[in-house]
Amino acid sequence: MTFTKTLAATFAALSLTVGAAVAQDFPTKPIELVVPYGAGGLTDAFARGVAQAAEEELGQKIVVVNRPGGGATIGLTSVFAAEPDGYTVAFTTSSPLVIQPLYGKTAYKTTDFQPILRLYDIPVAINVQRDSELQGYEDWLEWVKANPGEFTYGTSGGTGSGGHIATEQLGKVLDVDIRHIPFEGSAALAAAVMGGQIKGSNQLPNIHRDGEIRPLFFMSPSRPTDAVYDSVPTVAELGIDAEVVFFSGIIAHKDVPADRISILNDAFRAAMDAPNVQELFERDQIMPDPAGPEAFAEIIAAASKSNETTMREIGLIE
Amino acid sequence: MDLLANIDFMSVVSAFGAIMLGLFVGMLFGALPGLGLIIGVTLLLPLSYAMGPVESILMLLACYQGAEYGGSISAIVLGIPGTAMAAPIVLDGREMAKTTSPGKALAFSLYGSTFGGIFGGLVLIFFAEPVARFALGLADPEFFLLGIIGLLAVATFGAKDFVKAMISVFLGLIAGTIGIDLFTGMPRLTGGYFEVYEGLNLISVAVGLFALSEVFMMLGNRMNKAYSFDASDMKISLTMKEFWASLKAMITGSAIGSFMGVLPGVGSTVSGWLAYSGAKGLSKTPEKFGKGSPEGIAAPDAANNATVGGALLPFIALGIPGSASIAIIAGAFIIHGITPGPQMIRNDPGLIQAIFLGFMATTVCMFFMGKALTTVFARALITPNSFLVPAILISSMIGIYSSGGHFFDLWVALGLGVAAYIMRRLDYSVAAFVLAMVLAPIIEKSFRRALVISEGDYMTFIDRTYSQVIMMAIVATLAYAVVKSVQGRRRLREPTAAESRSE
Amino acid sequence: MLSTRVVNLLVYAALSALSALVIWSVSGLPVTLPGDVGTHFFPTILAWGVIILCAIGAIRSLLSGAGEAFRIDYLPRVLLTIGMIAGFFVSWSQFGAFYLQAFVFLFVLFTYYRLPVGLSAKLIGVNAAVALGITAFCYVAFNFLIYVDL
Repeated sequence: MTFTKTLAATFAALSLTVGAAVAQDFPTKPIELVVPYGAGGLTDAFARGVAQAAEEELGQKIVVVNRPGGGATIGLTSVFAAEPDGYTVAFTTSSPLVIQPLYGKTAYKTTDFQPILRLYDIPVAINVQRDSELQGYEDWLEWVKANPGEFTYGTSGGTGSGGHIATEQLGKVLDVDIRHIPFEGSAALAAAVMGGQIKGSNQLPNIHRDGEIRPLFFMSPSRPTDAVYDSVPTVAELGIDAEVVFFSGIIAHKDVPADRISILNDAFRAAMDAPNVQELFERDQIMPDPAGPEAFAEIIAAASKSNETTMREIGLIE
Repeated sequence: MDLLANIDFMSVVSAFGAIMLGLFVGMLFGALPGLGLIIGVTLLLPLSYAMGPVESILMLLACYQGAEYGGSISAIVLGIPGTAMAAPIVLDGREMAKTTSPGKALAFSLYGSTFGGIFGGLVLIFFAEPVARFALGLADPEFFLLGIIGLLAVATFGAKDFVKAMISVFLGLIAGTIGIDLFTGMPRLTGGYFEVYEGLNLISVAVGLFALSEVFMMLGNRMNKAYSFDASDMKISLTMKEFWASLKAMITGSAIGSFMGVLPGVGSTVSGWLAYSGAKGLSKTPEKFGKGSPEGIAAPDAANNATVGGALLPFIALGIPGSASIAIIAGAFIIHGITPGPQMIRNDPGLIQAIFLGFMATTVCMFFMGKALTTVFARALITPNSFLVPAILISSMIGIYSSGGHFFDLWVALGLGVAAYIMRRLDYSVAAFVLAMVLAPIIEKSFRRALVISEGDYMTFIDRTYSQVIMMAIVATLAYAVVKSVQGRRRLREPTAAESRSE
Repeated sequence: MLSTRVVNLLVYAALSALSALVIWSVSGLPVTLPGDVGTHFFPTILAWGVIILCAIGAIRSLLSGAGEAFRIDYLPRVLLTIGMIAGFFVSWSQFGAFYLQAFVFLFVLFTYYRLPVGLSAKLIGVNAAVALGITAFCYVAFNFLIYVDL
């Protein structure tokens, strides 16, 4: 029958020209943006914000799906397991991508994903209580050197979390003896700093809203947007080789065709400038810092390598 | 008080909607015998994911309030307490329904509930801040000790079988240690499942232990039995005179209820009975008790609802849940990343004010909803279990799945439901299990962190005034438990109607 | 027919075995922080606690009488329901289509539970209508009022 023949021919043609054809045909159905955290957090808010804005760019619905659990690895596992057609992508933070796979228990490796767009880094600092006599980096270093093992710092994620690894690396680079105290959540951590149970913390400071967590120096490349932090140095400015990048961005399975990645990159990049997303950046004191697939890939590779070295040194992995 | 500051119209509307939903579900589940407060709260909890923090917390609190009153509806209309807490209401409520009218009995119940709810709310509002201010000085060693108090209370108060209650507590604590260990980063008791790396899903545990096991119990009874009741004379209102006559009983009940609520592990099962005997002791006409005394209805109902505000106090001010129902409500705080405790009152005064204000609103709304819809809830009682059971099963599944999107959680719930079905019949306590599971991380983390900070020095638990005071409270609780168990042995197996089913 | 005592003893044995499993599976977990009691500490003492309590309970129940028979009324109905739930989980996770399957699940259970009332066309009609109503309510609630991807 001619109809069947035509159909077969069409299919043949389609399969031949798949690379070229999809470029224009993508996306033709809703895209799933997996958030490996529960609804309601910072990452979720940004994912929903950019999804909404990127819908207009792509002309397709973007469904945000929360898949929390397993230290955010369940969400990434589901993206890794999905068809690599670009219709399932993840909005991830650094931990499930460049820390968790190093423990060797996840179904995926860091290199099983390819980056689409890095949106921002979360600024983190080494902080002390607001009224502490330690005014800045030099004060701190002097005190820490004079009191080995006395500087207790908390992290909000506990042993093996990004904050812990980064601060241990700092200790190694500066050759000082500081002691890690694990906490769960930044509120409990801030409370312990305020109450004097611990000397300091590795987290986002809060003196911009009259809080008591005062930064000595930032370990991230960027600072929060509030002017109160402008005079606080970063480790890069201090010449310390312990910079840490807690990135957040969108990634996809490594086998997704490059042209689809570039379509998604364009859409999400444009979405970052949408008013609703800009509002989020402002609210959460975060500097927008877009990085395309190549630049983001370098960031991921560098972070993974540096984490692996430190984790080996402090005995988290063999 | 600047409670009314910074409130915008839209948030009031959505909070109102959440309160009405919570009240409706609470009254319905409270009224349906066997379902009760915890199942209502558990099934509503997953909706928190789709709501703001204030709305979801108020919804659950409203459900709590509503269920405390709802249990009285079936107690009065059918003579079957819808919840364990409503058991004392049967005595006089049923009697008054027969001799005077069900409407009048329900009216005493509703007015009592509302009065108790407001009383408990005021206790919460006035004491939360001072307690929290005191608690600001607390550190890990003290939180560890507070958690221990909570556990002791669970195991000692109102347990039918002490050994089994203790086993339930220990199992709950073990369940609470499942997941990645904060201190070493190692997965523990996960069996290799990533789904439990962040601990067991509270919703699937609560649904399994309470809702599914209850459903299996329902299957063991006749399922097509339809209750019938007389719908006439259901006008629910009191005259001023009647209200004044029962006011003293309401105040007595409220005071007892809110105090008992504050104590960890006690809950409204005990406070209802205490209020009943308290009001009887203070009454001018104690001989009327048991024969349809208005005071015998108003006092326990006031106590039940006053317990809600009281039970919230240690949770909001210290971050330590004192009962299984509060532990499940704590789930809404966890979902929204809010850590209750002294810091919350300090860092997030807006949220606290909204909760306080909303809490008072729930009691007022309960009053009007009770007036308007009690007949509807009474009619819901005639739904036979053959319809109820499948409907609960479906809503349980939706609730669990929507909370994390893992089929794994559904299997956990089913497994726990079957286990709990057998173990509840042997007098193990599922409420103690859930509370222990929620307290376990608080206890373990504060214990270990205190030691890590002190570099292994155990003196850290007793070298501060705060911890010494709490230590004394622990000793007092233990002493009370010993005295009580001696007394209990004396009155061996005295039949109590207060089956600790849903509390 | 099992007596309550036998069931009690069986549960004690099962819980002790579970506790032994807990102790075994956390043994060998490392301690990394100075002063820390370790990952294994809490589960281990708790599991020992369960074992000791089970032993006490077992002795108590051996000393007391056999107790009444442990009866489960309508056991086939309970087992069949548990099987239905498990089957529903499997088929939902395999084939999706939650609402369609939920309707079937409700309808079958309604009909099964109400068989004693007497099977009739009216009964089936009522069951189907109620099942449809509940399914439709869930559909509307979870797709339009709040978004839950089922």
